[in-house]
Parts: sequence; C-alpha cells; structure tokens
Amino acid sequence: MSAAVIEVEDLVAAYDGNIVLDGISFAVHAQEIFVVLGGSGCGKSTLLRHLLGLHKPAAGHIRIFGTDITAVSEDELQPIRQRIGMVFQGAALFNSMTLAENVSLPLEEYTDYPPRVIQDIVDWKLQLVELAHARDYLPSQLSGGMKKRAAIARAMVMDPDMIFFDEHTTGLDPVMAAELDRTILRLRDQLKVTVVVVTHDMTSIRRIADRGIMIADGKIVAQGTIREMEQSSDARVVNFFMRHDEGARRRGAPAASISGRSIHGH
Amino acid sequence: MLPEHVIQLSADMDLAECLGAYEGWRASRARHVLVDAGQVTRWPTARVAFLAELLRRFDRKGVAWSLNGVPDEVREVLEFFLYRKHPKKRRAVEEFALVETTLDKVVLAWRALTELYRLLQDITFWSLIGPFLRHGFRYARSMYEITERGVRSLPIVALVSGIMGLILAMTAAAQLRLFGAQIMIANLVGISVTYELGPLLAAVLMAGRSGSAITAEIGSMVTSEEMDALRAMGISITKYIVVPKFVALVITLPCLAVFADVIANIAAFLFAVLGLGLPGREYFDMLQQSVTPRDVVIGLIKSVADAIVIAAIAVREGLTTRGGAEGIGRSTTQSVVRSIVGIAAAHLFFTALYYATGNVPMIKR
Repeated sequence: MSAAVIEVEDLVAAYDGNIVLDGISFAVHAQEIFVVLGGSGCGKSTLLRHLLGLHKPAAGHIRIFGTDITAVSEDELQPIRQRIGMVFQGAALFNSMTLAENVSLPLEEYTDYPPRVIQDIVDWKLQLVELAHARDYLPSQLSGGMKKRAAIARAMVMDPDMIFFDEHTTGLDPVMAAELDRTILRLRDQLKVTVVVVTHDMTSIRRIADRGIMIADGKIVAQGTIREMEQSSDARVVNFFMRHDEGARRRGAPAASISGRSIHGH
Repeated sequence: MLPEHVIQLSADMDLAECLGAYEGWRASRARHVLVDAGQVTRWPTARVAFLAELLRRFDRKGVAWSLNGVPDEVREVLEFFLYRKHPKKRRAVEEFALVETTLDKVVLAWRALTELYRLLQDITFWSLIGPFLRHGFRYARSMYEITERGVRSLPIVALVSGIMGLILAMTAAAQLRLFGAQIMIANLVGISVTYELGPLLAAVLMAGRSGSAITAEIGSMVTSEEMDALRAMGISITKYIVVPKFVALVITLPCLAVFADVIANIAAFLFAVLGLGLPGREYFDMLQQSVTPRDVVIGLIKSVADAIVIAAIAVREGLTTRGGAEGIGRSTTQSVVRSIVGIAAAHLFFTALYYATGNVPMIKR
C-alpha cells in the first residue's frame, strides 16, 4: 500500500457553534480515488473546504503531504495548495476570460514561463479534457459538461499531486456524467494523481471509487471499498445505498456498464 | 550521421537548463544534436514544454536532433507540442466589437425609449390600478423597500444637504456684505434650496445609492435566471419585483427632498446666526416671507418626476443586463450615469416650463 497523502485525525468542524463534523478520522493514499459520501447537508463540502485549508477546524489535525495544515499560516499553506487542484461544484470559471485564459491563470500567477511554454501547457491540458477546439470560447458559450471539463483542465494545469472534486456530476445528464467519470479515471491513470471526490451520486461512485467514507450526523458511519461499505448494517448506510441506487436506476442512467467497474451486490 | 553535440539533461531539469543547453550548442554550431533525457525522473507537463521549447529552437535553426531516454507517454505530449496544428485565433468577444453607426445609435435610443414607456405603462397599472382589481400588492416588500431606500438614506442626505446649506450661505454672505444685505441669505438659500437644489441633491444621492442597488439586484437576478423562473411561473416581474421598488422611490424621494430642504436651511440659519451674528427672529421672518408653500410643491413635483426617472432607468438597465458579473457592473454604471442625465433633463424641463409660464420665484421683500 502506498503512503498516505492526506491524514485526518479527530477533525471537528463547527459553524456558529453548530457542530457539523464531529471527530472524523481517515487517510487517503497516493493515486487512489477516494470518495466522501453522504446526504445533502451532512458536511461533505465542509470537509473539502477544511482539506483545502479554507476553514480552520475547531479541533483535530489535517496532515497533507505530511504537513499539518491546521498549524501553519496562510502563507505557508500556499505551496501546499499549489499541489492541489480543486474543481468546484459550479465550475467557478471566470466569466470575463476565455477558456485558455482561465486555464493559464495559475501559470501566469505562479510561474515566469515564456508565453510559448504557457500556451503549450494550456493547449495540452485542454486536449486532455477534449476541449482543444474551444480554447478561445467564453464560459457563457459552453455547455455544463464542457464547463466542468474546463474546470478540470484548470485544476490540473500546475500538475497537482491531488485533485478535489465537489459534486462533479451535479447538473450533468447521465451520459455527460459518465464521460466526466471516464475523464477522471483516465487522468488518474495518466497523471498519477490522487483524487478526492465528494458526491452522493451512486452511479458515479460505483464507476470511479477505490475507497471512501460515508458521513452521517457529523460522523463516519461506513468506510472502506464500496463493497465493504455496502456490507454495513448501520441503518443510515443501508438506507443511503438503497435509496440512491434506486434513484440512479429510475433516472435511467446507463449505470456502470460504461466502464469496466460493473455494479456489485445486485 | 553521428551526433556532433550531446546535451545531457539533469534529473531536475528546468527552463534555465534548457536555455543554457541551447547556448552551449550555439558555441559548438553542430549540425546534429543528441538530447539525452535519461536522467530525468519526473515529467510534469511544464518540463515537457521546456524540452519542446529547446527542440523547437533546433528546428528553427535547421539542426537535426535525436532524443534519448524519454518515456512513451512523454513522447506523446512532446509530439503534441511540436507538431500540433495551431488553431486560428477566433474573435472571442464579438458582441463587444459591434460597430455602432449613428443610425444604430438612434435606433437603439428609440428602442430604449419605447421600452421605458412600456415599462412605465406596466408599472402604472400594477401600482395604481392592479391593487384595486384585487391583483395583489406586496405591502410588506414595499415597506421594506421604503425603509431601505428612504429611511437609510437620511444620514447621507442630512450630511450632504447640511454641507450644501453652509456653502450656499457662505458664498451668499460674501456677495451680500457689499450691500449690507446679509439678511437676504435667508431668501437666497431658502428659494434656491426649496425650488431646485434640495430636490436635485436628493435625486442625485438617490440615483447613486438606490438606483445602482436596484440595477445590481435586478441584474444579478437576471443573470442567475431568477427572472426567467418568475416568468415561467407566470408571475409578473413588474408586479413582484419592480412595483415595490418603484413605489418606494416615488414615496421616499419627495420626503427626502423636503428633508434636504429643511436641513440645508437649518445649516444656513445656524451659520447666519452663530457665524455672522444676524438676528435669528428676523432671519426666520425673511425665510417665511420668501418661501411659499407653492415653491415647496413645485420642488416636490420635480422630486416625483426624478423618482420616476431613477426607478424606470434603474429597472430597465437591470432587466437588460447580459453576461455575468462584468455585465452587472456595466449596467450599474450605466444606470447611475443615465439617471443623473435624466434627472438633469427633468429639472431643465420643469424650470423651462415655469419660466415660460412666468412662475419663476422672485425674491420678495
């Protein structure tokens, strides 16, 4: 087993005195696709924001690449953040910039590469997410799926060791969602990145997840591979898997047949 | 052909090293170069791009090169960098490059005016007639808007109109001292403020403070499809969003104008009595004689017109917002600029009207 790149220890997160996450501990290993499951409002996104250091935890420790990010200043956090790519739920592209400008932004900010080199890198990243033809489009001229893929290109432009996805399939039709999952798998294999995905989309999880945790009521209620989590006897876990699988079937998703990972336990 | 020059890249190769290697080649002037990248262990995209940059320079000089020790997946990226077809740069932002001829401008201005007219028609219906036909009226929302637009504007209006009263009084005092008629400050400040400056000042402040806020609010609702949502639910945008704001402006702006009148006169009074030592009683009498209720009413009519102008322009700019955060910024700016132009035009119109009908205020003694 490869080394842990994220270690979370007894993390407590609170907003205005409300405890959102209550003593969460887990580890993510290099080059795995790790999912964080849970219903709406269970604190999944909060967890992600803490991993990025956007919020400080009320208690507990988060070590990323061996550095305890709860103990360092904002300045010391920057080099760690540069090794992490983040794909936001709404893509968060800058509307006034073309796709190429959006993707090149981190390069322009953090490096002094000549324009030619920057253009090469940007074009390659756009090629990876199959958006090379759209480099001069504005975000408003793109479909939802294209925006998400553009956001991925931007997240990877600095060759991060880790990419975080927040609800990556939200707002996409099943075919596009499957496409995006395939992109994530391909990127992991090609670029050897670690992927952390926060989602409640069961179809997607079955396609991409190596391991994961499920959060309910601020605590981890199941962890391990999807198969291991399904064996759980916790009512909340059973309920979650049953309802979300059913939801996915009813939406007529092309299920897991698109990738090699087919549905377990049916 | 044997390579005449060998470039050995180190494990942590970077751009400087590649450029240095190129300089090294220039010294040798070899026609065939071997680049050995066998020691490079990690291949982030940037590093591949550096290598591509080096090889591209050799290509440009017509130098043959061969490459050793590059993994296949890296070779794929490298080939992309070196041999891809560069897409033609297309005009990304065509809508902003729109060439406007004078005729276009006239057409656009005409369209804007007809839109404004239709909007006003709609607003008149929903605020004056609609409520009585039981079409509903958002009292709570309107009260909120009145607080937000009116009550919260009181401090800034007080501050600015107070300052304006002082400025007027001081300027007038300097002139009137020549004639020993400093008590006439009461007439001068009284009439100019009530008749013109109070309503004007309140209107400009309202355009800056509330007009911009209304445009930004409506504009962001447009860009986030909230307006489409309302329309899809069959709810009138005019009734639901516009009328409360409109009503708030029409009710509060005249009040603010009167408030500005009072504060400016108090400021001038204080300056005259405390600064110049004029008798307060006499000052007050002068003021009472010169400013008639009719002057106040004329000021109020202007104020109502200002409110209509500000509300209509702010709402229209908001509703025609296009394209995200930048678009909202653009329409907010336009809203304030156009409102102020509109206010100036309205004041000119009314002053010309009173002038033509012989209703210009006179200083009475």
